[in-house]
Amino acid sequence: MAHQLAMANPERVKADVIDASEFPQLSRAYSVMAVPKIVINDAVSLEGAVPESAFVGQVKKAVEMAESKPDA
Amino acid sequence: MPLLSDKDSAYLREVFAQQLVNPVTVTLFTQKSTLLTVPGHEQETEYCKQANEIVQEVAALTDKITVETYDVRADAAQFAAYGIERIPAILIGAGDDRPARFFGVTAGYEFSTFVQDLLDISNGNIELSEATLDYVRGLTSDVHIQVFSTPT
Repeated sequence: MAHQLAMANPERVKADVIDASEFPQLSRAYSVMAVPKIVINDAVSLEGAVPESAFVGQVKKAVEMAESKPDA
Repeated sequence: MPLLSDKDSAYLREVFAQQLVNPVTVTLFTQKSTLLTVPGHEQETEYCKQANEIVQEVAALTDKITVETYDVRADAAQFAAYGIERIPAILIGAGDDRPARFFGVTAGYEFSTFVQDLLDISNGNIELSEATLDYVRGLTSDVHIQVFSTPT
């Protein structure tokens, strides 16, 4: 699903599938306890497989959070 | 010793022959030489060795997959250009884009995602709803999605 979103808009979306067991430090940094765990813009996370609408909902949430930050 | 069984190779060869339409490129960021290990990086070397092998084995099953390989020591510029900080990294795309990115060896469950991505990118196959497509294509800021997965 993540790769599909990137295929739809490769300029804006970067989608990484990461083998949690190969990168334990990264997994610890994101508190990965169970897989799949999806992290969007380091801001929103979800666990488990979710339907497309729920996934996109979380992407929207992450984007809104980023866009509502005042410019530094 | 190959990573893919004879049966899996034969099956994939058939799938590729029937379903790969346009050429795709697999860009592999890795240690090109895995004969020597750097102390403290033995695991990484082993993972790179497996990634190198699996990519080569899969690409050999069709003439529609081109592999570009960049070495962590020799090709720092390419690593920077693609923003790659961890290896092995396997990126799939066509033209200049590389929408499908994998970090680690694409084994087990991830292997089927890897194959599906090859087919989807080759066919320009995007299975998202109209609403999702509209939203994603209209994005005005960047989205970075990280999916933590496991091969088993």
